Amino acid sequence: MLKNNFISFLFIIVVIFCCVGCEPDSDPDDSYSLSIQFNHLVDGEEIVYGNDNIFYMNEFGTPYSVRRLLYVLSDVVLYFEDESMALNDFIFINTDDAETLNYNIENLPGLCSGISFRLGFSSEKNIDNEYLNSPNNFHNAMVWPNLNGTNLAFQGGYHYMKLEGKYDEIFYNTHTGPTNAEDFSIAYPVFDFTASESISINMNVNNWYNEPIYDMNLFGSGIMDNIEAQIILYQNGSDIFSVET
Amino acid sequence: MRCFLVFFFLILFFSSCEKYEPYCPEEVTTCEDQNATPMNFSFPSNFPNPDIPIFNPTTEEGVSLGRHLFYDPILSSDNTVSCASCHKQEYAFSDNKEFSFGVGGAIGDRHAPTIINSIFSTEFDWDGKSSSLEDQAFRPILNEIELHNNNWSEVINRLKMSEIYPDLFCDAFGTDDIDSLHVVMAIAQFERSIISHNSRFDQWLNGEIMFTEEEIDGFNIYATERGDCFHCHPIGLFTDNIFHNNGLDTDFQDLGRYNVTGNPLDQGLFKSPTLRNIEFSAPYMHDGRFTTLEEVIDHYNSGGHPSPTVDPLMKYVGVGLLLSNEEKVNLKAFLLTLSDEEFLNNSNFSNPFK
Ligand code: HEC
Ligand code: HEC
Repeated sequence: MLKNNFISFLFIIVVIFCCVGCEPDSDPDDSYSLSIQFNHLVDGEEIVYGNDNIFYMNEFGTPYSVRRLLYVLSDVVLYFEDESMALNDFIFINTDDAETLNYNIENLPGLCSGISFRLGFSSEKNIDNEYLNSPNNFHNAMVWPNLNGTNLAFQGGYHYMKLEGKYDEIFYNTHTGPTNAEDFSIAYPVFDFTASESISINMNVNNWYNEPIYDMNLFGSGIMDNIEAQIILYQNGSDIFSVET
Repeated sequence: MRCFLVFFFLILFFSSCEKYEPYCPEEVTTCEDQNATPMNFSFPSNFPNPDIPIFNPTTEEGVSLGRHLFYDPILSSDNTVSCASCHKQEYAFSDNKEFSFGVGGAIGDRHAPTIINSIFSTEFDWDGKSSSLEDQAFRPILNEIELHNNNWSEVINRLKMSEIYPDLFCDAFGTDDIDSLHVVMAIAQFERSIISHNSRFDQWLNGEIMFTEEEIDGFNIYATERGDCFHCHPIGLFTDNIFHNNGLDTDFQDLGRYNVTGNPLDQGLFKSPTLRNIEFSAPYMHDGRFTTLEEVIDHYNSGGHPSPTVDPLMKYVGVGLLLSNEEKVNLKAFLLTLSDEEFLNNSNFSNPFK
């Protein structure tokens, strides 16, 4: 019995060593990282989420609240002093899931001083059911229906953004994506910043509605099959992001 | 963390071997030599990879044991109620009663949900209070309005004394030392095997059959902004596995997800149920308030009731979808294409004692 106990004890020790071994060894000296925090603002103020919490005013003069915001950034490229590096994974941000509001990238070759990305997916990457197994329930949250050839507007793939809340007494769903299989994704040029290990990417939500002016009353609640609404949002999208250290 | 869990179970496994070996009679040693057969699943390409915990791989023997336990009133304090009393195959593993009866005729305040394609979910019960099927199965066994046991040792004793269970546990887990963890592991394995993917809708997607014009129109209403059902019940699994307030009430009887998170934005939110086999699982909603699909469609068509947490995806609260009678009929016709007769009659899921 005593012998058995001793054997179990040895075994446990071995197991503990194994467990420790499971964490990848990281050498802090020659490895850099980048931590990205995502902020969502209306004219400089962090959004308070909820149907009835705070009503913001857009350029057209419609008061609106924000209940949630989900979007995807793909084709992410990081820039260093004399090289750049493309990320394999896309980044999914969901304000209902705190885990997605920070994104960390390890083992970088240097301090990062620039970033570029695309809001949504390019047509080549916006493939039906391609991301069924991506983390944070991405597929279910962002899938764009495929009507099996019975409706031009819905040919599969994924939403790029879902911005939802109330305007007046009803709801708006500002959902962007591949309406009529057209590529409305927005590729941004490089955002430069002083070399840093942590940055924030800020979205100014009001900029979706100001240039050209987007009228929620005109387009109504659901716009996934509304090509005019998609074009106006696409044009508005160019200045929604800023990057800070 | 995952790694730690594996080793944790390894330790459990090895330490139990050592403890019992010296006293084990012959046949137990053969029991430990058993190797259960891994279960092979095949899914359509629009399903994700299943979410199976590494410590509880699905095996044929495990599923068989779980199926026996699921149908056996031996798990209830007075031998009258089983899991299948409230989760019946003919009703897509839901119940045709608004609130099901537990031991002594006790009733709860929520309707029994279906159990379909649970292998793809990570949160269970209407409010998501259980984070795995193993976790979930612990609850009904001790719950006073379900199987009503005072403690696990009563349950384990009954199983140990039975004619069949020591052998079934041996086949499934290589041990006849029955414990609560292995009971819920087996039940979870059976539940993971309950899969539905051969409805008329699936056959249509595969080009095997044609839809009627009504069904196509219904699908268009369902999966476009017109009816907008797909955001919460997306094509494929027909659930987004997310919690929403679909506008049932202005004042909540049941605070739903809020009871789990304490977040005021979660008051009155419930998990979107799958709409697969919806034809068979009436009555509907967490409290079984609607008895027909017509009533459900009328609810959505009316826009639902306003409240501070109603989901923005219920876009037309107070206004309504304004579907015509014909459109409502077609939407229902589409929902009926999600019925899977093969699933409903699958003898692998039926009562093994019959
Ligand atoms: C008296 C009726 C009753 C009995 C008996 C019963 N259940 Fe349930 N079951 C329910 C109800 C009601 C719920 C919803 C509970 C909630 O949301 O709080 C539920 C929820 C579930 C769920 C969650 C499904 C989902 O997708 O969220 C599973 C799985 C389940 N039960 C399995 C079982 C198993 C296994 C047993 C036997 C050990 C069992 N039930 C016994 C009534 C019952
Ligand atoms: C905002 C998300 C949302 C939308 C949009 C939505 N549903 Fe639901 N649905 C839910 C939720 C959440 C439940 C469960 C609610 C509860 O029980 O409290 C549900 C329940 C149901 C049920 C009952 C299922 C059961 O097992 O009891 C049916 C049927 C249904 N929905 C059909 C539809 C149809 C048809 C549409 C489109 C007209 C639709 N839903 C749109 C979220 C949604």
